[in-house]
Amino acid sequence: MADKKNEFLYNTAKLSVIFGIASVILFLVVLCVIVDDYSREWKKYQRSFNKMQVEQTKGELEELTKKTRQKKMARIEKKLKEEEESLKEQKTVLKEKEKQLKQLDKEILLLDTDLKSQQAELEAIKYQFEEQRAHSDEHLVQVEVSQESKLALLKEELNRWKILVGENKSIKGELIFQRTTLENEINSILENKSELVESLALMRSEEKRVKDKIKNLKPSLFNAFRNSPMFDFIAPTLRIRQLVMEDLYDDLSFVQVPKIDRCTTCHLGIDLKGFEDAPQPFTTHPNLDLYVSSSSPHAMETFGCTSCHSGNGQAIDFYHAGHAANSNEQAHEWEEKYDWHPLKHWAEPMLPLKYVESSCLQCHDQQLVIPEAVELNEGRQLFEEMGCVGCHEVKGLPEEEIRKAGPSLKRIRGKVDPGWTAKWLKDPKSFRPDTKMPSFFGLSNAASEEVEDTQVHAIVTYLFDQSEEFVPEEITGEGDAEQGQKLVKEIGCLGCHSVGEDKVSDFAPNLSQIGSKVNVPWLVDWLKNPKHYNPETSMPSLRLTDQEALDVAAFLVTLKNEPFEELAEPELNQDALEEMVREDLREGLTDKQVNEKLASMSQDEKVVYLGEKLTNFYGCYACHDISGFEDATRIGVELTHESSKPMEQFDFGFVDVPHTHQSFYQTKIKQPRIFDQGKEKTRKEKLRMPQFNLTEDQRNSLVTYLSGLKVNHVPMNRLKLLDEQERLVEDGKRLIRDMNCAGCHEVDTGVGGDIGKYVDDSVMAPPSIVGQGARVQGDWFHEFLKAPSEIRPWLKTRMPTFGFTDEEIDVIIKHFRAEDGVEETFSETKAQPTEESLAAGALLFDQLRCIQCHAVTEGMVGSSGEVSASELAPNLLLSRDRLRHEWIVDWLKNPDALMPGTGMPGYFPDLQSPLPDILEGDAMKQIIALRDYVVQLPEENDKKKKK
Amino acid sequence: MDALKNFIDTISSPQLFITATIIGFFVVMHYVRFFTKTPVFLTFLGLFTTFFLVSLTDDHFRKIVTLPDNVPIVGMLFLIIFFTWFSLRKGVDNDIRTEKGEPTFEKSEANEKLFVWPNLVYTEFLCMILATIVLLIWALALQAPLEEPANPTISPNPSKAPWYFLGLQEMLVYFDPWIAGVVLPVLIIVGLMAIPYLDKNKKGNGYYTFKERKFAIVSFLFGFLVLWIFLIVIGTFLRGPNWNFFGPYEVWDVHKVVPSVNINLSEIIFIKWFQTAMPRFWFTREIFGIILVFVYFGLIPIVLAKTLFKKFFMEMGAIRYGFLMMLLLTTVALPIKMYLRWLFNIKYIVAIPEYFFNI
Repeated sequence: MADKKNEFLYNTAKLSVIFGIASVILFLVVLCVIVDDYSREWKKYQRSFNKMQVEQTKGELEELTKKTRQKKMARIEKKLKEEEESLKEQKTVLKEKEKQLKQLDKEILLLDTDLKSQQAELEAIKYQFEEQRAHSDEHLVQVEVSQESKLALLKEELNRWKILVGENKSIKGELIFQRTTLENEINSILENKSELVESLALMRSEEKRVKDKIKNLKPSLFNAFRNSPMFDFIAPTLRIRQLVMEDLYDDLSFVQVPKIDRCTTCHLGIDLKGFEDAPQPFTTHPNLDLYVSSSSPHAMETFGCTSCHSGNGQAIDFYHAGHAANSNEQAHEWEEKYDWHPLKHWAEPMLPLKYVESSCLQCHDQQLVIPEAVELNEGRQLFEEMGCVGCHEVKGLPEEEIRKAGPSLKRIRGKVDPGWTAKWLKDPKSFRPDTKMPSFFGLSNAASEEVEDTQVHAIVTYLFDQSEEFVPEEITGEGDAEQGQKLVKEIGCLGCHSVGEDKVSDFAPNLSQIGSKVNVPWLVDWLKNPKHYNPETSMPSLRLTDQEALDVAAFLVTLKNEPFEELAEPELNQDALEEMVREDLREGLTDKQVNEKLASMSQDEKVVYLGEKLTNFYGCYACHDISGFEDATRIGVELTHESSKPMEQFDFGFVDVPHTHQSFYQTKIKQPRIFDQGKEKTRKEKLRMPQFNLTEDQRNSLVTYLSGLKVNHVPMNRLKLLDEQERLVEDGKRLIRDMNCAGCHEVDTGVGGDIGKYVDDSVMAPPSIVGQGARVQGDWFHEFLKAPSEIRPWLKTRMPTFGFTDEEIDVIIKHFRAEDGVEETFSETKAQPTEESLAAGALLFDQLRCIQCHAVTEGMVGSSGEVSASELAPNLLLSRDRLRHEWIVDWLKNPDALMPGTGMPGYFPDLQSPLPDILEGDAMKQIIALRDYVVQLPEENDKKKKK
Repeated sequence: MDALKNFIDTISSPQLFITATIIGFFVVMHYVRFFTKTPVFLTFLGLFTTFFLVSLTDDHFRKIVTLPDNVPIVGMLFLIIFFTWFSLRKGVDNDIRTEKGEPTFEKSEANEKLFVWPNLVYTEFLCMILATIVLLIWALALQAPLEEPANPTISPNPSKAPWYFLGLQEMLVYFDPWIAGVVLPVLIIVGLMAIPYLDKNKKGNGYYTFKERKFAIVSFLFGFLVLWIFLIVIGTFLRGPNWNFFGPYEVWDVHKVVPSVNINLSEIIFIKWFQTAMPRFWFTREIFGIILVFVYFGLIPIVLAKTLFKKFFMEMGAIRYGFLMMLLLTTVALPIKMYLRWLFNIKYIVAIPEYFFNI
C-alpha cells in the first residue's frame, strides 16, 4: 500500500475539492463577463425612452378612445345598420346583378385561358415564318419550289392565327366593358354602405395601430427574450441605431472613413415631435424645420449629427462621444452625473452648443450673411471690421474688398496734433470709450511706464515724420453752433455717427468728444469734401454749403472731453530710448558697430528710428495706411485652419483654463497678453496682440467664427454653391454693408433704417429700399447713385454722394435687381399707351384725386404746397424715367405689400375697382390705363410748356 | 513624508540608481548564500512590497503604476524577483549538498517515478482553470488601453516603445540609433544563439548549481537583470514626457527642462585640451576615438588573456575566447557609455556623421 500512496504526489480528494471550487468560480466569472458585456449605457436610455414613448402613445390612445370618438363610431355603426336595412329592398336586384357578374368573370377567365395559348401559338408561328423567309432570301436565286410553297403555307397559317387572336381579343374587351358597367351599377347601389364601412375601418385601424405600438414597446416576455443575452443578435428591440453618410468623411489621418453617427442610439426623440420638454438625451431638436427631420434641408439621414456638432459619432457612451459643456457649471454637473471629463483622444471634440453655428461655415462660406446663423455672421463681420484680418490671414476672405479698420495716417499732420495722438495711443478708451481702436499699452504684460511712454512718444513722432503736409481749403465765415446741432440731427449724420445720447449705429466714430481732437478749418474742409483729406475714406459728402459746413463744425468743436484734455502727455525717457534703439540696432550689427551707429545718430533720428521699428512691431499698418508700410506682411498667425490645429500647439502658459480651442480664443480675446503670465520674456518675445473693446456677446460671436476655421472635408457636391442670381446678390451685400446703407434705409425686411426714430412720421424717414431692384430703372438708378437727385423734397435727411465708381454702382444695381428677380436687360420694357387707355387713365387720375398728394408739374409738392406729412408723395413727372413700368402696375395693385407703412392708399383691394363706370370696371385694365397716363405726364408737361 | 519622497526622487536619478543597482547586483552575487536564505529573501521581499504599497498612497505613483499598460510590468517585477531567488536558492542548496558529499537534489529525485495521470494532468488542468479566472477578472477590471486613430502630426509624449523594447529605447539615449537600434539588438540575438557554441562546459546540466557556473550565471544575470529588465523598469516608470527622467513621486511635467549639452570626444580633445580648431578631415579628427575603440576591443582581450582570463583562454581556444570577449565587452560598453555621458557629457567617442557612423 505504501507504493500506491507514492503513486499520488497530491491528495486526489483535495484536488477534486479545489477543482470543484475553481470550476464554480470560473462559472461565476464567465457570468460576470456576460453581464459586463451585456449592460451598456445606451440600453438604459433606450429602456427609459421606451417608457416615455409608451406614456405618450397611451395618451394618443386615450385621445382615440375618448367618449366623443366612441359616440361618433357608434353613430356610424347605427347608420350602417340603417343602410343595410334599406338595402334589403333591393336585395333581389343586387343578387341578380352579382350573379351576372360571376357569370361574366367565368367567361372572361375561360376566354383568357384560350387566348393565352393562342397567343403563344401565334408567336411560335411568327418565329417559324420569319426564320423560313430569312433563310430563303439568302439564296434567292436558287429557291426551291418546295421551300417556296412551305413559306406560302406558313404565311397562310400565320394569318389565320392573327385573325383568331384578334377576334378573341375584341370579345374579351367587350366582356370586360360589360363587367365594368355591371360593377359600377352594383357600387352605386352600395356606395353609402362601403363609405361607412371604410370610415369605420379607418378609425378602428388607427386604434389598432396605436395599440400595436404600445404592445410592441411595452415590456413583455417576448421582448425580454428578444433582448436577452445570447439571443439579442436576432431581432432585438434595444439596438444601436446608426446613420451612415457615404459621401461625408471622418478624417482619421491615414484614411478617410465614411461618417457613421450613432448619436440617435441615445438621442431617441431628436426627430420626433412631442418630446420638446423631455429631459436629455430624449429632447426633440429645437429646429426641426431646418434640421434633422427628413423634410428639412439638412435631413439627419444625409447630414448626420457630427457634420455640424462635431464629436466622435461612432461612440455610444457619454464620455467617448466627446460631449462639450457650454459652461463651467454644466461641466461640473456632468462630472458628477456622468463622470465626464474632456475627451483626450479625438481631434474634433463636440462643439459647445453656443458655438455650433460655426459649422455652417463649412458649406456656406460663400455667403456673407448665412441665414439663421446670427452669431457666426456677427463674428465674421467683427473679424473684418475690428481689423483682426489685418494681422491674421484667413485664406478665402476677399482681401481686396475688406477695408482697413482704421483711418489713413498718411496726412495725420493736417488733422490732429502730436500731443493728442500720444495720449490717444497710450489709452484710446480714455478719449472715446466705445472706440474700435484697441489698447496696446498698459496691459498685463506691460513693461515699466517709462518704457511704454517712450514707445508711444516714438511711434507718434514717427507717424508725424512720415506724414504728408495737408492744408485744408480755406473757408471763411462764422458758424452757428445751434444751427449746426440742428443740421447734425436732421441731415443724416446720425445714420453712421453717434453724437452724445443720439445713437443709431456704431459704424463710424462717435463724435461726442470730437472737439478735443480736431480743429475747425480741418473739420470744415472734411465736411465739405471728405475725399480731399483722404481719397480712400468711406465718409460720403452730404453736399453741404459753406455756411452749413461752418455751422456743423462750430457745433462739433463744442463737444469736448475735458478729463482727457487734462491728461499729461507721455514723456520720452532717454535711457529707455537708448536701450531700445540699441536693442533694435543689434539685429545684424556687432556691438562695436552699434555703438558707432548710436553715436552718429541725432536725438530725432533715434526717436524716428525707434518709432518706425515699433510701428512695424505692433503692426499699426494692419489697420491704418502708413507711408512706407504698403507692402508690409501681416504680423499675426495665419488663422485659416486654426481650429484644426492640434491642441498641443497652443501655448496656454501657466494659465489654468480648459485646453480647448474655444477656451483659448475666449481667454486670448478677453486678455490678449495673459499667456505671458509667469514667463520670463524679453521685450520682443512678449505677446503683442492689443486689447479690443468687445462685449461678451461679441466675444462669443467672434469665437464662433474662429471655431469654424477648419480644414474642410466636405465634398464639392455638398457645398452651398451660389447660382448666378445668388452670386450677384452676394456681391452687392458687402458694398451695402461697407457703405452702411442700413444706417438710413431699411435694406432687408426689418433690417436697417434706424435713423427713422428721429422723425415723427415714417414718411419723413429715408425710404425703405427693399424691392428697389423691381421699382426703379437701371439707367435712372445708375445716375442717382452717381449724383443723387431730389425725389422727396420734404425729406430733411440727404442721400449722400458716395463717389462710387461705375463698377461699384454696377454691383449695387445688379444686387438689387437680382434680389427682386428682375431680368438683366439692356433696355427697360416701356409702356405702350393707346388712345383709349390714356383717356381712361386721365379720367381715373382725376377721379382718384392723385393730384392731392402728387405733384405733376416741376418743383411742386402736392397741389398746394402746404400739405400734411401723410400726404407727401414724389413728383409724378419722375415716374417715366425713374420707375420700372411693370413695377408701377404692381405698386398700384397693392402699395402696402411692396412698402409697408407707405402713405399711398390702395385703390384696388383684391383687384376690385372702386369706379365701375370706367373700362367696364376691370381693375387690371384701369391700373394699366392709370400707369400709361402717369408715364406720359412729362410729354404732356412739355406740350403745355410749349404753349 | 515629503522629505522622504524628495530623497527617493533624488536618489533615483539614473546615475545613482544604476550605480547602486550594479553594486547591489555584485554584492548579492558575492554573498549569494546569505541573500538566498528564506528569511533574508522574505524580509527583502517584504520591504519591497511595503515600499510599493506605501508608495501607492502617492497620487502620481499610483497613476503611473496602475496604468493598464503598466500593470503587467509590476507583475513582472515581482515574478522576476521570485524566480531569480528560486533558481539561485536551488543552486545554492545543491552546492551545499555537493560540499557535504551528497548527491544533488535532482539526482536523488531521479529514481522516483509517477503516473502522468493524475499527478501531472490534473494539476495542469487546475492551473489552466485558475489562470483563465485570473485573465478574465483582469480583462473585466482593466479596460484595454485603446487610443484614438493615430494622427501623424501628434506624437504622444512620451512616445514609448512596447514594454519589451524599452531597454533598447533606453540605450538610444546613450548611443547612435544605428548602434542602439540595429547593431546591439542583432548582437543580443546572435550572442544568445552563440551561447551553446561558446560554452562547452557540461557542469550544471540537469541540475541547479551556482558555484560550478559562477562566471556564466553572473555574466548572464548582469546582462539580463541589470541591462535589460532594469532598463525596462526605468523606461516604464521613470521616463516621462520628452524622455526626461522623473523620480517615482515626481509629477510628469511636459515643460520640465533638463540641461543637456553633449559634446563629442574629439571636441573635448581638440578644443578643450589642445585649444585648437577641429581638423577638417574626419580621420584625423576622430583618430583618438578610433584608437580608443581599437584598444577597447583589441588590446583588452589580449591583456586579459595573459592575465585574468588565462584559464579561459587555454580552455576555449582563441576563436571562442575572441567571440566571448567581444560579446562581453559590448555588454559592458553600455554602462561604460552611460558613465561617460554622466561624468563628461560625452556624446560620441567616434563621431563621423559624414558616413553616418557614430559610436
